[in-house]
Amino acid sequence: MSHTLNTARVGLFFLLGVVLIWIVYQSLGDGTFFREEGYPLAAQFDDLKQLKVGDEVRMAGVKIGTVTRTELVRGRGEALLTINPEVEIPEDSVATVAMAGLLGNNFLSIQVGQSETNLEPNSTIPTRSTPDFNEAFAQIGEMTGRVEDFLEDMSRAVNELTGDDEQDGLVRNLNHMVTENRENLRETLSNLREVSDALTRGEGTLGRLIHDDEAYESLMNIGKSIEGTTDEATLLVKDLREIVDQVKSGEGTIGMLLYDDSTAEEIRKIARNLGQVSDQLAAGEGTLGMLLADDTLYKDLQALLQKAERTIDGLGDQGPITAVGITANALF
Amino acid sequence: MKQINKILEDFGSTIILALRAFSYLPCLPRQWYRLVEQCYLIGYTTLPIVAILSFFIGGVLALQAGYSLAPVAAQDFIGSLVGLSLARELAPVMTAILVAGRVGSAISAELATMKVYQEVDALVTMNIPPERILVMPRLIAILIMMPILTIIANLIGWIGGAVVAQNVDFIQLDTRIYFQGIKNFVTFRDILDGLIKAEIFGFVTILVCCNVGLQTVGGPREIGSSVTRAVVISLILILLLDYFVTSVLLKF
Repeated sequence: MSHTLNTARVGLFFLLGVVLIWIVYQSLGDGTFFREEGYPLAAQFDDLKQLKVGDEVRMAGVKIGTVTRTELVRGRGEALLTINPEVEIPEDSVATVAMAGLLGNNFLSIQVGQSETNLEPNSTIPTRSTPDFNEAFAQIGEMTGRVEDFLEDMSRAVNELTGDDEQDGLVRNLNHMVTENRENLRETLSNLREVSDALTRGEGTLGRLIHDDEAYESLMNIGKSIEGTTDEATLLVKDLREIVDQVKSGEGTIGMLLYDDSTAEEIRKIARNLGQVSDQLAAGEGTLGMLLADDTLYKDLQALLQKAERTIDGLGDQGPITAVGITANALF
Repeated sequence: MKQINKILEDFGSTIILALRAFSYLPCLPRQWYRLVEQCYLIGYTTLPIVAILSFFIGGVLALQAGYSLAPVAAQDFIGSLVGLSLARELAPVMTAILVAGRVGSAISAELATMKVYQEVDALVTMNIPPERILVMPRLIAILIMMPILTIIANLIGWIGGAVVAQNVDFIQLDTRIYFQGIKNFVTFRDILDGLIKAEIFGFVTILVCCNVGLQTVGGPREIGSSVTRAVVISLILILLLDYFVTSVLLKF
């Protein structure tokens, strides 16, 4: 094996190794080994969570630096960041600890601010704490409690509506009512339907009223005849007025009666005479008065009639006992 | 006591050997052909076995991960699991073990033979330090070759994992999702940590093997026992160092 060949092989081998190292560096390399270039920033958090040294600092998802140190400063976690020199961070940017995966890969996320001025090296960037899983779960727990309360209230309200075995609720009552009156309701509804069907078919008074022109026409006729009647009534009223006028002017019998004093005087006289006659009658004066006021005539008449009757009876019972009869009759 | 003394002696001689070897670093241009030769032996000829081994390691990793993750429908994470395991741990360690077994044993055998047959003594007599022409090129060669072997082991291992993940019945993970998982979870830092580890392991392995070879005293039988010792110490050191180097690297 010649010396030159070996040298070539070794050279090739060496180059291969260097190239491989370069490839690996390019594909994996993030420059963490080499001294960090960039300016330092501090970010203070109440809780750094799982932020570790070497975690990325990302702005809008782009890596702009790394976390170079974490330490405790007066009870707060402080992360020292190294930011790439070409990246400028506005003053009002906010840093949060964000989660890259469920397995606890965190990174420091910087939300870009609007400010014109940029953060100076060695300054402190404003931070905001984000809820982590524990807090989220705690909140979910609280929320579950509230939801349970709400559901309890709801079910109570529903119970009040529906009622239970002891207590009748609105819905229960309605339900009862409907259940009990189901037949009636059904009948009512079917009746209503029949009625509406009949109406549609034009049956019955209403139906005919709705569908038949006859009714309308007769109504119109009635209206017309009412009009005619009105005319007649007007005539009548006119006549009446004429009569009344005549009466007022003292013409005719009624007019005389109403407006002539002499007639009234005569009538008054007649009335007075009648009064006298009736007084005399009541006092039993005169024939008629005696007839009315004295009952002797009546008694006489009665006794006469009784006698007559007896006489007729005696005539009817004539025979062997006639003597007895006559005697008896005579006695009584 | 004698054992401890022996261990300390080995330790000291290894460090001295490393220091002396690096003190001859300026002579590297004159040792260029030796360096290329060592690179060829250490890197180029080791590549096939590294490739085969890492392919199957990646495959079996994906298989095991799929076996564990498929019941919980988490196949998406096979990519990240295989990628990270290979990059951070398995590729450097397996490559170092292969280098210890394949190259380290050869080096210690060669140097032990030279020592036993007094070639090293002859070099010293000629005022040629054996560290300069025997140790220094090998150390430089392993430092150059180890990262390359490791990155190849990484990539081939990932491909092995992808092939297994896509074709095994109970996993059936799309290759794109697999590589997306790798991309999402494996950073270049992980790769670089692996390369640093591989560099350290390879360097220690070759240094120990050189030292054990050069410390050999006796005859042909000692050559064999030296090779055994060199490989055993290398493996132990690789696994011991793995833990400490990893814990140190994780701190950065």
